[in-house]
Amino acid sequence: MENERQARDEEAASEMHKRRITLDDGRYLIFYTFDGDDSSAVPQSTSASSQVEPQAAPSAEEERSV
Amino acid sequence: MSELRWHPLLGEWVATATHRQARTHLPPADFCPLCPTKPGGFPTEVPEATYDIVVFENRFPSLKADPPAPDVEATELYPVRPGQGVCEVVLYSPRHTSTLAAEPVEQIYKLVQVWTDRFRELGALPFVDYVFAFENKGEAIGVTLHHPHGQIYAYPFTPPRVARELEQSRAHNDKTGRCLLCDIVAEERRDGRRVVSENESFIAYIPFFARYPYEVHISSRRHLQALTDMSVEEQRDLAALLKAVLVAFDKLFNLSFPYMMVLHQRPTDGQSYDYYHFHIEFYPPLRTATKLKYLAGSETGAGMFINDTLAEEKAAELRGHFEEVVWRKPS
Repeated sequence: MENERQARDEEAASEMHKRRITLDDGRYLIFYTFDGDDSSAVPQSTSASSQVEPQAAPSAEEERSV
Repeated sequence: MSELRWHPLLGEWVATATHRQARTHLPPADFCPLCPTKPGGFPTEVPEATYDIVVFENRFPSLKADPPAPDVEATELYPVRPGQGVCEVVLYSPRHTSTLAAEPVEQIYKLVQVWTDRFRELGALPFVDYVFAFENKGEAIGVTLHHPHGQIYAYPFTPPRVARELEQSRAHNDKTGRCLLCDIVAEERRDGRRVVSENESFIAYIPFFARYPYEVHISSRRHLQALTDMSVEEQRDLAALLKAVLVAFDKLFNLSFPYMMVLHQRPTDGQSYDYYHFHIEFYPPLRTATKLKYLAGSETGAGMFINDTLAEEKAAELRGHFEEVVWRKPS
């Protein structure tokens, strides 16, 4: 059971890839990508949540970072 | 400057981070710093034209891996230590107007995998004792960037809220030999009135002791302590139940529902926490479509929450807004 779970986890882990870069100010940034993925370019899902109005666009007063 | 100051009355650390006051403000509305950098466009935090999920170090962190020495002298009464840790931002999607609720369940499953990776990587750092993933969503919470994102704080200590849960869990285990959260899940399933949804691996409920009207907790049905303990099926089930809860939240008042979402996992300080149990807690500030639950004198000054609603009634209300989660590709 444990071995099966570990094998599945390893299989899943192999589907995720990390690419780490260093920004100009020395901070790191990691791009995560996934094998066989076709969802990132697809607009949001058709569930009921798509009926919800998006929140208002940020105003000029908003912070640049978090 | 950034440092940790000891609060002797409460016995906990307070982070000072004065540089955060200087956070840059964004002039035009369409210059989101969390969007991809468009060709010829202004440089955002992400220097590429698209991405799937991105994690980066916060530009204005309250904790840093290599922090400066504290600016103030410590005393016996007032210990001070460097603000050592990591503060990361997690971008859920390149789509600016999206939310986690609006993302497909496949994207939420990717996020679960990224959270797991960050727990593993940050938790392995020698100066990190606790990895805390969370999301603040909505202006009611104070968020000013609407691009879908969360954050991860890697603390050099176990934060007080989690430490108290650990103490309670350990005391219950010492007394009964059982896991406290396993018992809570069993009690909620036995009663049933506060359960809002469940699948093979996880259950969502507004607990008996909820402090906020729509305070949903998501707990694993199996006794485990962290994302890294989960099987692939459990991680997929977690993504599916998260999606279902988030969509129900949005449908509740037909608006993009504000919340704080926090992941409670075991510490990463090398000790054993077999008695603890992974779960996610939501603290939504709305008590009606137009009224906020404020943390006022009793909640903030005394630590006693007053909930104007009954968990049984709010769970029934929320339960009516759940719908089936559909995967594009079956597992």
